[in-house]
Amino acid sequence: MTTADLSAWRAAAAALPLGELPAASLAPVEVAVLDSGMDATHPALAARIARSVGFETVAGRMQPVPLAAAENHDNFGHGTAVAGIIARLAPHARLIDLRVLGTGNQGPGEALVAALALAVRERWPVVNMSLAASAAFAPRLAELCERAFYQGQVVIAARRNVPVTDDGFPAEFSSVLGVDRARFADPFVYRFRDGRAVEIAAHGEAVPTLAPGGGYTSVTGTSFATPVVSAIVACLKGADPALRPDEVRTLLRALAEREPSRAA
Amino acid sequence: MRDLDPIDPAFGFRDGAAAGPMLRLLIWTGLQLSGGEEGSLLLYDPATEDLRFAMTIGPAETEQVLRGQRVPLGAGITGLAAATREVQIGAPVYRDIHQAERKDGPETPEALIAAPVVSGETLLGVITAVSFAPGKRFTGEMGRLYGGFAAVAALLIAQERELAAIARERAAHPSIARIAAALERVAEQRPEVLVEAERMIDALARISLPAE
Repeated sequence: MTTADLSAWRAAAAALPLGELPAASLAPVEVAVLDSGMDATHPALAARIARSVGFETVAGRMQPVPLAAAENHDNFGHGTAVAGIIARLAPHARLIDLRVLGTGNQGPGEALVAALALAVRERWPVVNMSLAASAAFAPRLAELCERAFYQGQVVIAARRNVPVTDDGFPAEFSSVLGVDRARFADPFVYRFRDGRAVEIAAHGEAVPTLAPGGGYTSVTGTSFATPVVSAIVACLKGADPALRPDEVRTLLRALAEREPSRAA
Repeated sequence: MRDLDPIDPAFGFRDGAAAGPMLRLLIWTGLQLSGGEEGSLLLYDPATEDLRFAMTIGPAETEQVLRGQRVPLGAGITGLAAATREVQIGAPVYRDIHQAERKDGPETPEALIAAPVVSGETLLGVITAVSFAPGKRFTGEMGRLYGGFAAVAALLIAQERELAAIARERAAHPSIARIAAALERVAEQRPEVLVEAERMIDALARISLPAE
């Protein structure tokens, strides 16, 4: 992996119309997106979604439930927007739609744990979580994120937009790449913040992406900076599928636009 | 900023409580700082598991139309903010990606911030800011700011509901209110007697209540 490789990806991704599959030189990479679902009928997501799963309480336990292919499973638009960013910046990514919001459950906690457990079982190499659970779910999420880390999966999670009591779980965990929002002209430029639990600040202001129903919109927030990082990680894993999470982190640090020091 | 009807007591507020005007002032200040034109407070109704417009800041006709209306939790930006407990920033939907990047195409009329009002783990509601100005987009910093106002709104609402519960309790048992007022007077004028009063109340409880 060289800086020149990443520069080439940047140029290629910037030139790509949304949703157009490239002649990929990168190996396909599955990216699990734990979110509000995806609109699989959106032309830009056609043939990009490998699997859709919802989560429902069955017999008192949160269980995965297969969702029909080629349907709109997203009532909120959040998951479709996240998926659109990954699809655009990582055209070789195969999306796994894990719907943890919008099934009547108010908070995402239990469904988030069940979806992450499924992602760990299935060993999808990149896991995007543009959501934060409350502290009550932190121990169970931490255990799953540790397991994901040790089996080579890269989990990327959003910092809270308004972190009052915590930065958000799982974004705070050392086994996870935590992502904050910043503004960059180039989505492949990001900042690596040494010594912080949430170590990456990526482009998350007015990011153009997909809206359910076939339209387009621009989105703002840590939720949308997170898939930018997931797409970059998918590029790295596409170039070298054997990369382990610590190697990915080292590469991200090396390729980042470094934050100017306070002294400077 | 207009002075409108107080918040419906069905939301757990006392008649004439200061929390209502304070919340109005809070949302109004948030609008001034974020550049929004209209704002609202939606309160969560646990019985029906949806949100209801409790207050809007903006034209009087908007208040008349929206107040009391229900918003489902399972859809839209406000529902998303409630479900994720995260500030959400909504933008118009465009026909193609180039319009979305240039922000000059035909568009739905609003940019929206929805900030969840949460006390501990409990969802109390959502505050929103809306702009109808063409091309207006709320930034992440505006969202963060509005989220801060939502945190203060949560404190106000939780405190008001606690006070309302105490007031209801006192109204249901007026003698408790009289005893409490008498003890307050004792505390002010003869604080040294309070220890004895406490012993008497404990003794009364032992005599009156069955042993546990």
